[in-house]
Amino acid sequence: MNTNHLSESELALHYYGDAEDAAAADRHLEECEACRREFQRLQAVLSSVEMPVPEPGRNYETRVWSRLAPQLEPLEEPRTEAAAPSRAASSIWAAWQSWASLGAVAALIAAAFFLGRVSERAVPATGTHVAGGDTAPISADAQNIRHRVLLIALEGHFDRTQRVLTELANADPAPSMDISAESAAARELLDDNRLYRQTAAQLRDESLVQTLDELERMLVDISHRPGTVTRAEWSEVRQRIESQGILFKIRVVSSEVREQEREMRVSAAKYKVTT
Amino acid sequence: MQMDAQDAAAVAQVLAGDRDAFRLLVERHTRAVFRLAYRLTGNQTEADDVVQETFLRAYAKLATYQHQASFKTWLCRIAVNYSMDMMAKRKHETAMPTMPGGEGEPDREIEVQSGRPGPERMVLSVEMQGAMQRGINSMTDVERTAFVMRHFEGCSIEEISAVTHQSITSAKNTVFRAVQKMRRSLSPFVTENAG
Repeated sequence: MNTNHLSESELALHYYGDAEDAAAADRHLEECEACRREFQRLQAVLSSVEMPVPEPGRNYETRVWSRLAPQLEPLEEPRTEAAAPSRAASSIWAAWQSWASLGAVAALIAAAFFLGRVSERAVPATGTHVAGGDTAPISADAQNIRHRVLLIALEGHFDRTQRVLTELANADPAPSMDISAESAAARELLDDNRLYRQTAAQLRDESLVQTLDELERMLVDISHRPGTVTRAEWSEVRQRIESQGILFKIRVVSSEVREQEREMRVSAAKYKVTT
Repeated sequence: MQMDAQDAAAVAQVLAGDRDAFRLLVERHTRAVFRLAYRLTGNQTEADDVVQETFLRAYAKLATYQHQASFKTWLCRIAVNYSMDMMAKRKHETAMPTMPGGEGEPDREIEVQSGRPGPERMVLSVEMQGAMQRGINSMTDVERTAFVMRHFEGCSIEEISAVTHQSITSAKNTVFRAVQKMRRSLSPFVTENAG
């Protein structure tokens, strides 16, 4: 008989069918009365956890659709090969959609930089349109699309960053704390953050640059921390997060980014209708 | 997980420019998204808001949808992400709302099946609802999300890990921490009967 009892964590994993070796856990539970009782107590607790959900109504689907439909613009075919010259901006957008399907974040970054190169070649240094030239509307569109691509990418980036910082700030204090997951997440976010900051700088969006710059310093600090920290070290990180109000700033900028992206989408749709 | 054929056909139609094909996806999945959102936010108005925003985002990002996951799973990820944002914002504005069936709700009885061989039933009062609410409220947003996804929605640890941006090990630990908190809240009601 195996005398090593199953831990509380192993029992919980086994309850949900996530144990690494379910057969071994079952065998142990058959043999070990103490673990069996403990497991039965856990089952009794978890099987009692219910959360009744109210019935949203018989025509709920219809109500949801009627609110949604007016807000949906028809999507372009994402893999259009031969776009008419007057629809160059749409084909750039279609190409972006096609790339994005390969992997959202990577494609967003790639698209933003690709569009950056296109627009830098096509837009004069002053940023003004070339009167009467065929390339002027395309480059202006490319610039707008590039900006919009950045905003879409930032929505997810801010969400992820906020989550990591919140999780870190709300961790249960202990003498020794494992923050390896948050530290690894901060490293990944840092790479994206740098690219977004550079793109925002090229687009001369000073407000975004400032926020991303501040975020970058915070992410650098967290990503350089060891996987395990003392309570005092964690407290230092938490104080930094709280004293700088970084979470509040992210929420505000994130909401502005969403609004700005929505406005750009609407004006792009109007432009399409008029051309 | 393979994508449902009807969902796949509807997604292809929408991407080809047929906006109305999206209605089929809304009709097929609205209630599942509502259930998830309600369990995460604990509030019907907010759950409605999550449903609306989830489908808007799904439509806007449909081209980025990768068919390895079922469409429903993909939608749920969007819903969870938005709900988590909403919970984080709310945290700064007010305390967590009461869990459905908690304080202020009419007294109701819940029948609980104990895990013991031979069914043993116990009838719980509103006190247990309150304890359940305290258990949920003692969880962090990530723990609550992981718990709802695992306990009520039957999502895999991999899915939880993807939505909460954690490693598999961390996601398992998050579910466990949530279970521990719930257990701590409910154990006075169950221990005597199961022990």
